[in-house]
Amino acid sequence: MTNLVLTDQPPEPSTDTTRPDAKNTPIICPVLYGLTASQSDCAILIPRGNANEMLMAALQRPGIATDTLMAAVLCADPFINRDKFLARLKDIGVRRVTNWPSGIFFEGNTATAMATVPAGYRQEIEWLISAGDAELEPSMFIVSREQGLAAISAGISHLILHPGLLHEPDPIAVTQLNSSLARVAADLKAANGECTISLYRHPSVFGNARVDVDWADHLLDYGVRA
Amino acid sequence: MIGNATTAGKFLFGAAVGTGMTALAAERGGADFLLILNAGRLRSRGASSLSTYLPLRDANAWVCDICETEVLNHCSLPTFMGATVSDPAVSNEDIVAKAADTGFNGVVNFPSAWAIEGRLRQVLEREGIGFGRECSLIETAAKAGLKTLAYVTNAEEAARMADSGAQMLCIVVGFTSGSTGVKTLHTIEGVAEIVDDTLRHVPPDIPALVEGGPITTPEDALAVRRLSRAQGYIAGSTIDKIPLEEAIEQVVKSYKVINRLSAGDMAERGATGLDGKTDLIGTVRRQADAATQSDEPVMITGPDGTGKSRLAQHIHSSSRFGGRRPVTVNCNSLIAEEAAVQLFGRAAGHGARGTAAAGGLLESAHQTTLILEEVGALEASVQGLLVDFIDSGRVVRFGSTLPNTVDCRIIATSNRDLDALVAEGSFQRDLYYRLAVHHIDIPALAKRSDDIVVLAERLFREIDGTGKRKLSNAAFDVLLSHDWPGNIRELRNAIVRANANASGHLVSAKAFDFLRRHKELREHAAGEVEHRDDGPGGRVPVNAENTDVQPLQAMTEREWIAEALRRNRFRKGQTAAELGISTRTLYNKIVKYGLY
Repeated sequence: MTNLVLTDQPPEPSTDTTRPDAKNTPIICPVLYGLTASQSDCAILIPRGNANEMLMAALQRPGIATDTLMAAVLCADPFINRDKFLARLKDIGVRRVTNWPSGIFFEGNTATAMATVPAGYRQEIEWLISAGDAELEPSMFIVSREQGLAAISAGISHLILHPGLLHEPDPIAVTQLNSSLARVAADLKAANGECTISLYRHPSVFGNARVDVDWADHLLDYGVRA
Repeated sequence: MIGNATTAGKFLFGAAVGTGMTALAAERGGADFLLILNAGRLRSRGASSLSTYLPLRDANAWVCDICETEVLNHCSLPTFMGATVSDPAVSNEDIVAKAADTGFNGVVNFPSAWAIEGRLRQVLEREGIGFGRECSLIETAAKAGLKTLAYVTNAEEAARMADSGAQMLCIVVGFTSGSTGVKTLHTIEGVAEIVDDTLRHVPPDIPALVEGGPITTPEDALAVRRLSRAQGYIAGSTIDKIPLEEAIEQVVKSYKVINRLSAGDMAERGATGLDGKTDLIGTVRRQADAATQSDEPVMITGPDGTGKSRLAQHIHSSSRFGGRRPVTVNCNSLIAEEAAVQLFGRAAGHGARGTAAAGGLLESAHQTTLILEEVGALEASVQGLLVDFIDSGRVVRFGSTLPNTVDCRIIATSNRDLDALVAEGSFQRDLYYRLAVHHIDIPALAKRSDDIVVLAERLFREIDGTGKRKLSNAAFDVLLSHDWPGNIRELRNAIVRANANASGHLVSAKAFDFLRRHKELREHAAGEVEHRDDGPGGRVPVNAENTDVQPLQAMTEREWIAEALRRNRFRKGQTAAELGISTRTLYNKIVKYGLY
């Protein structure tokens, strides 16, 4: 199974294809540097730098194999010229994009208020549709069945299922969560048999255990440097 | 300075800004202190205040840069750094040291975790980058000798911040509503309750301010202060985004109206008083010109206030009888039973023994023009007599058999649809055809709004008389935006009133504020009529007759608002919704009329 890894920097250029992580597809999100996986979930609320400028700078370093990675874009950036930004990504060889840092966790009044930015999963779907139009392959982080179905309805067929917030490693809870996530995945596959689903093996949920599941097409691990 | 204000009971005003321009303006306006926030900068760039949370830039470094380069070298007010603690890689000690090094007098927790709800907020707290860390920031800053201001939303947060050493609190009641795009469910009374509840464990010597939610005007802030322990207000979008956008919009409109003002300069100025350049009024002028070339009867129709009498006067002046005064008869004022006699006269002894002979109005019109205003009001019997008169040119007084020849020009006017009156049989077709040899229909002003500028300029020149005053572009914009149900008469009256209201050489848009109130009253009156219950018979159908707004015109705006407030048990939101005005406008009026 091909794995994904959420990381803050693209792998250094190397010809060593025997490295254990060489077959992993990195999802590049430089603004996450130094954050734990849980802090990364809150990264859309941490104004520590310009996420998209940092992304572009990282991808433009010489020798980066941009065609094998996935670019993690802050879709809520109110100042970005979407079409130009997508064109720039394409120009430097990027083929795949995703939504991170993400507003998929906004709920209640926060979701309502942030929608005025606009920020939230609906806006991220819209953004990723534009990426598709620009001939970039979109993958979307989702945290619920509702979000997944909305993404599928919009034509996004690569989904990265986040297990949700506020979990502590607990074998019983993890078992229950696994079956819940499996049902969500089944529902999404039922909606679109062509869609691929990656499970985010969030360390705050699954601990250090390398959980494997048979219902996911791919697995995503958190690989940001401490 | 800020601490002493507690005992002095002074109203504290903090300006949350993000640019040197707004900081300077706030200082000139008398603000007590400044908060330098990246949200202010984001607003000035056209983004939402809520973008403050997003990873668009290092917020703390940005705020320090703004303060150092744009504020500290120009302003002398105390400044607070809006400091975020959400980045776990940066210690609170470093933030406080940077604030002091930059020259800030204090720190404030912004953007804060207060706006984040649900599981995400719990993650923030669990990861140590939420409100708990904000308390720690305030504590660190207080120990370092900086002033401290803390944003809080509830009693627990307020108590924690007070314990951490916050010298001032600001109770946030959600993001500011209105043009920010955020909607609030809070009322002003609700805000006052929140403030007092939030402060229930806070020592009284800690000043408390308020921000956000429905508070968008000084009147709102005053109301909250009166109703609660809040001692002041912090303004963000309410002093930059909202007023700035409104002001810019007005100024731009003032420039853009130049297009229509320029067009007005080039417009044809008719001697008829029917100024304008539209095709509609051009047609009227051509028809009027044709009417002046003959002695045939003329029918002038059009809504009230469009200038029918003035046009009739003009046609008369241009006719062969122009050197004489016309005889004008308002058919509405004729007494029904006596109308025929008033028009045709009577012989001696007619009607009662001893009565003297008297010539009628038609005889008085010999060798001049007879203007029959509102001819549609004539009784059917009189209409028949008029047909005979027009055909023969002779008048036979009542009680006499001797005809008198009358050579006159007839001009009739009507605000009613004569075609419809003919169709329903209340106006004789024969008379209509005889009077409408020339038929001029003057359109409502609303149908030729492009003529408003020309008309307003001419009327203003006539009314002002000094030649020194002018209408501002913004005032023209107000005139162009009004619907003018009273047509040119209303326009003239509005200019008279605005000219009286204004001072200086320029009559501003504000001098025409009453037009907006008139419109609100009219709309309200129309709504009342539509819903008026006519007792057991049920509702009165809405038609031209029963939309008479006289009873409501007699009601003052104060009474109108007071009644609505009573009806809605002083629920402001509900009252504003019923009156069809914004809550903000309602509050302004409550304060204006002392309706507390």
